[in-house]
Amino acid sequence: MEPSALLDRIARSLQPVGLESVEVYLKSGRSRRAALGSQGQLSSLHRETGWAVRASGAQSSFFCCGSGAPAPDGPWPNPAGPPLRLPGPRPVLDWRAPQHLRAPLCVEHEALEILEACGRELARELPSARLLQATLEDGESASLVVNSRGVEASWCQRNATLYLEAALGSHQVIEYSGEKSASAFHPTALARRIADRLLIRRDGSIAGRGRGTVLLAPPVAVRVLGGLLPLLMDAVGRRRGLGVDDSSIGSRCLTIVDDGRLPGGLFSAPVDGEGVPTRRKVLVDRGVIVSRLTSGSEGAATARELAGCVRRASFRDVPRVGPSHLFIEPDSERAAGVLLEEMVEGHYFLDPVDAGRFDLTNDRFEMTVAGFSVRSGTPTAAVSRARLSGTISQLLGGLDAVARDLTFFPLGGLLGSPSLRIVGLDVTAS
Amino acid sequence: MWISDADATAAGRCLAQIAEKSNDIVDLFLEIRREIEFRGEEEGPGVVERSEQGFAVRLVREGRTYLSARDAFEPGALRSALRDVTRVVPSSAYRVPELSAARPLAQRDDDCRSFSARVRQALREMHAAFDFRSRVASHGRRVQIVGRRLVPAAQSEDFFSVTCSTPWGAFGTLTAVLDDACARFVARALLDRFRARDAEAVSGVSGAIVLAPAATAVLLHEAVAHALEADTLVMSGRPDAALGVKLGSDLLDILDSPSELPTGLRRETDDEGIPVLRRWLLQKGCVDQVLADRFHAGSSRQLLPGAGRRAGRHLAPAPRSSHLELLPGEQRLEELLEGAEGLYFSEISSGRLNPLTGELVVEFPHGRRFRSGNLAERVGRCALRGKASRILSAVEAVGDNSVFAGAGWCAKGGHRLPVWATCPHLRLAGLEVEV
Repeated sequence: MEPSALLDRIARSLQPVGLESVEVYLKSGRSRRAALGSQGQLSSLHRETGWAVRASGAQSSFFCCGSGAPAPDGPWPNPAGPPLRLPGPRPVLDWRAPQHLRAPLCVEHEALEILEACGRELARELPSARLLQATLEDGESASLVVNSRGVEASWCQRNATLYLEAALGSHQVIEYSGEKSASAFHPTALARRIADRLLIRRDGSIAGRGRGTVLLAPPVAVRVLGGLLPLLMDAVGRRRGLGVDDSSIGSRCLTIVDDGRLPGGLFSAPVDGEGVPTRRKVLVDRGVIVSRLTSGSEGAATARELAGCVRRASFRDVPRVGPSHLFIEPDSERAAGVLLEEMVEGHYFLDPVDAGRFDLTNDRFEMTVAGFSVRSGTPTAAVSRARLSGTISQLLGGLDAVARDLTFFPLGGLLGSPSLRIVGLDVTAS
Repeated sequence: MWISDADATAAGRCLAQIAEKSNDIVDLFLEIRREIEFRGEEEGPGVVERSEQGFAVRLVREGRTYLSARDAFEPGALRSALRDVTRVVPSSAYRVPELSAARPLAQRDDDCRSFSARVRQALREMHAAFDFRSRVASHGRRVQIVGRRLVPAAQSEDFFSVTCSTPWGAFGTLTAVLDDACARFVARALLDRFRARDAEAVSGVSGAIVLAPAATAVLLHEAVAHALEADTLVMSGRPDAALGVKLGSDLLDILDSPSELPTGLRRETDDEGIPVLRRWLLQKGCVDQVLADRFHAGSSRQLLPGAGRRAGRHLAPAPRSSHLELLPGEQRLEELLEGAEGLYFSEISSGRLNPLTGELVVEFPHGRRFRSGNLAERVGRCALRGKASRILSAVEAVGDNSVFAGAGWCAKGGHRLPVWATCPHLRLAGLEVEV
C-alpha cells in the first residue's frame, strides 16, 4: 500500500475517537553482525521491518509501533497524557545522497577478518594484551514518514560500528567507533590506540594534587560535551532553568554546532525523524547560548526556527530531540601538537576512565581520566588515573584554545570535539 | 505450533536437514511480545504500545554460531533464513513450512493505567504528598523453540515494570502483579528517598551491615549470578574450573530456580528449549554448578545447560540467571540488628562486577544507622567496594524470612532481561562503606 493511502486508512480508523493528527513511520533495514568473544565466533544476518504511528487529539495522544507491516484498521491503544503537535511541511534544501549509501554490506568472511585482524594487530603491539570481545555491525536502512499535516519524506542510512574490549592484566579498555562502512575501519590504528591506552593504565602513576592547564584529547573532550547536552536541549534546559538564552556560558573559543546534514557525516540526512528538514544550527556562538535543540512540538512554544533534530534510533523508539552531529567547532589553524608545545606545566588527558558526573544545577563536574603529565610542552610521565573536577563555569570559561583535530564518536548521536586546552581545573588523585 | 500455527514437525525436519554433525546445535526461535506503557510525564505521548513478532534460525557448529533473524512471519521467510545460516541452497526434499502471523497477546493495561494513582493514595495513607513522574508498563512475551527432534511447549512471561522519578532520585522495580501491596511498596521506597533527601553521605563507616531482601537480591545477582555465568568465567579460564571453589560464607546456599517463579513468570524450558533445573550455585559457600547454555555446556561434561536466555530474536542465547533463591537462615530481623552499631540498607541502586578482577561495587541510594536492635537516623548515598569473594565471605548471618523481592532489569552483554529473586535479610561484618 502506498504510504499516503496507508496514512489515509489509519487516519480514518482514528477519526471516530477524535484523533485527527496522525503520523506514520515505516522503516526497513538489514544488517550483518560478526562477533568474537566468550560466545565463540558469531556471524548473523538481520532483516528488520517495522512501523510506528503517533496520533493525537485535542487532549491526549499515543505512540504505537510493531514489527512487520501495520494493520491500518487497528486496534489502537486508548490515548492518554498530553497531546502532540506534529510538524507541518517545510521545503527541503538541496540534498544529494552520499555515495556510500549504495555500498553493499560486508560479507561474512570480511567482517570476521576485520575482527581477527584487530586481535592480531593488538597481539603484535602488545603481546600480553587480550581482546576480550569484538563486535562489528554493518547495516543499512530506509525510512519514510508521512503525517496528516502534509509531511512526506524519506531517507536512507548506512553505517558500521566496531566495539572492541581489551584487557592487559586487570586493566580493561573499550574502544567504540563508527564508520560509513566496515571496510573503513583500520585494525592497525585501532590496535595501537588500544595498546597505548592499556599501557597508560598499567604503567601510569596516580596523579598528584594540582591546578593548572589541561589539554583534553577528543575522546575526553566529547565526554565533556556529552555532559553539557542537557544545557543544549530546549525542553530539559528550560525545565531545569539552565543557561538563560543569549547569556554567556563560556569563553570566546567555545562554539557548539549541531548539523544534521554535515557533509560526510555518518548520520547525515535531508530530514530528521519527523520529516523536518535538517540544517546547520549554531547553539553556542563564541561562548553565548544562541539557540537550543528543539522539536516540532516544542517549536510552537518557543517560536524558534526548527533545525530537524528529532532522532528515532529504531521504529521502537518514541521520537525525541537529540543531536545528530553535535560538535565543538575546531580552529583550523592550530594543531593539537602546537597546543601541547605551548603548555608550560599541566596534563594531557587522552582517555576517559569513566563517563563523569555533570551536575548542571549545582554547577559541578568531575570525571576520571588518564594521560600524561606535561612539562615545557613535553609529556613527562604517564598518569593512570586522575580526577578532573571543578565548576562547569570554570570548565567552559577556562577554555583558552581549541585545535583542528575534530573527531566524532557514536555516543547516542555523533558527538565530536577537537582537543581542548583549559585552565583553572583541579586535578587530584582518583 | 502454539505461537504461529505453523507445522512444527515440518520445521523440525528442515532443521534436522541442516544439522550435518551429531553435535551441531540447530533451532528455530519464535517470539511474540507486547508492551504497553503509561507515562505520567509532561512531554510525549501518554501511552506507548509496542508489539512485535518474529523468528530466528540458529546453527552452532564447531564453536561458530550462525544466526538469521526476521521481524515478520512472511511467505518464504523461513526458507530464506535457513539459507542464510547454511549459506547454501538446501538440498532437502522436505517442504519448508510457512510461518503465519501469531495472534496478538491479550491486553493487560487497566491495572497499569490506574497504578500511579494508587501509589499516590498509598503515599497519602503514609501522611506524605509530593510529586513524582511515573512509567508503568505491562510486558507480555511468548517464545517457542523448535529443535531438530523436540518441540517443547511455548513459554510465557507476563509481568509489570514501574519506574518513578523524584527530585531525590529514581526508583524502579518489576512485579508479577500490580496490587495494593505493590503500590505501598513503591510508595515506601519513594518516601524513603524523600526522607533521606538531606541525609549526609557516609564514608569510612565500619561495623555490621544489614541488607533488606531487595538489597540482598541485587548483591547476590552481581556477586554470585554474574560471577558464575559461563561466559564470564570463560574470560579468565575454563568455566568448569570454578566448580568446588569456595566463594563465600558457609551460610550461603543459593540456587537458580526458574521453575519456582510465580504464575506468569514460571519457566519449564529456557530460551533454547532445554528443561530448566533447580540449579545449586552455592552450597555452604562452595560453587556447585555454574550457569550454562548449550554452547558452553558443550565444552565440558560437568556443565549443565538449561540457563540459556535471549532478550530477543536478534541476539544469540547467553547463560543468565532467572530466579535466584537464597535459603533462609535462623535469625529474626531483630536479632540481625542487634549489636553496638551498624548500617541498614533497604535497597541497592546499582551494582557492577569486574569479570577480570572480581572487584564488586554496589551503590546504596540511602540507608539508616541501627543501634541495639533499633533503626536510627538516615544516611545518604554510599557504596561498598571489594572483591566479590571477600564480601560474600563477610556474611555472618542470614535472616529467617525469605520473600520474593529485588526484581529488576539486567542488561549484561546487550541482553535486557528481567531477573527475579527470593531472599531473606543478610548481615555482613568487617566491611567498610565509602562514598
